[in-house]
Amino acid sequence: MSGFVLDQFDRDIIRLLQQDGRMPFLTIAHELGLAEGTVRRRVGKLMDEGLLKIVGIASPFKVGLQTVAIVGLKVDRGRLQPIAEELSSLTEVRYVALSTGNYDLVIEVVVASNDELLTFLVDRLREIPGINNTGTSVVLKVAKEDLAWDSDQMNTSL
Amino acid sequence: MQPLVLDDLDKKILAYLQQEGRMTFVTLAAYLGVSEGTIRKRVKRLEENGVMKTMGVTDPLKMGLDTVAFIWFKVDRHHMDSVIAALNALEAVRYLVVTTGGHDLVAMVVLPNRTKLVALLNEEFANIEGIISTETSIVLQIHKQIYDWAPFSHCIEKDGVQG
Repeated sequence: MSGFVLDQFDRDIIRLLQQDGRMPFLTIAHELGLAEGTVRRRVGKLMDEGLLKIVGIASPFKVGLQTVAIVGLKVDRGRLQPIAEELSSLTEVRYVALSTGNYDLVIEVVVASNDELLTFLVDRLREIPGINNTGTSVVLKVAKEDLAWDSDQMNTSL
Repeated sequence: MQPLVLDDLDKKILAYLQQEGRMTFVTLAAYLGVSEGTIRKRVKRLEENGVMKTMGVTDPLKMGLDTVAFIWFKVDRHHMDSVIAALNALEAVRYLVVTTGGHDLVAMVVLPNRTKLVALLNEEFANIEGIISTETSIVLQIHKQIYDWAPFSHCIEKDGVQG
């Protein structure tokens, strides 16, 4: 990882773009009292450093992907990294995290149907050696999804 | 709400914007051979129908939020709605789903440090009536996190333009 350190302006820019990814740089500049060019440069830098991505995010259920599942996996410890890499290479896997606790890996799978989920769990996962146990939670309803966290506010709340 | 049926143009717009969320409408219009106004109207419709949202995304672990965890809940069915409402109201809870399987709810929480996680588990959750048990997995590393899951990239590949 790079040694890039975020300052307050970077955090403020990120906060505004989390709210609206297409907010004009001029609007951000006015909001923060910066020059438009400065905002443009900082956004470019944040994206180059891999700290920020600006993307259109589709709601899976509205684009024909009817089945979302969170799957916890217990794996052979020696195979943790290669298994994480193999899972990451699968298109239907949108999230892979290494974790402590009951599971060594937590993944989120997005597919078109329950049939496809079954195929994924039975066929795709079986092809990966070292997976010992899985616990699958199929998502019935998304009660909250808010990726726009404010790191400043979260540091002071709770 | 009546679900919006996506046509080919909607899918192409989505395919481009999920790769590059700030692509200008002029560029999109040129790629797709329609007017800028059409693109603008379509994007607005996608947003208003909850099909797509354009936003900046980050890795919380790189943003000074050092604790990301998944929490599996068993909940007393009689209190399901109030538990969901209470969890929903907590800022640390960023993603909350109702599920089948051995557990009733799964939440992803994001916090500045482990101390706050302990407080969340022992104080906040302890005060929510109806939570029977929790299991917590602390995320050590996010290996993959993608946002371009809508399966429409083939819609623009055949156009032969670079996104």
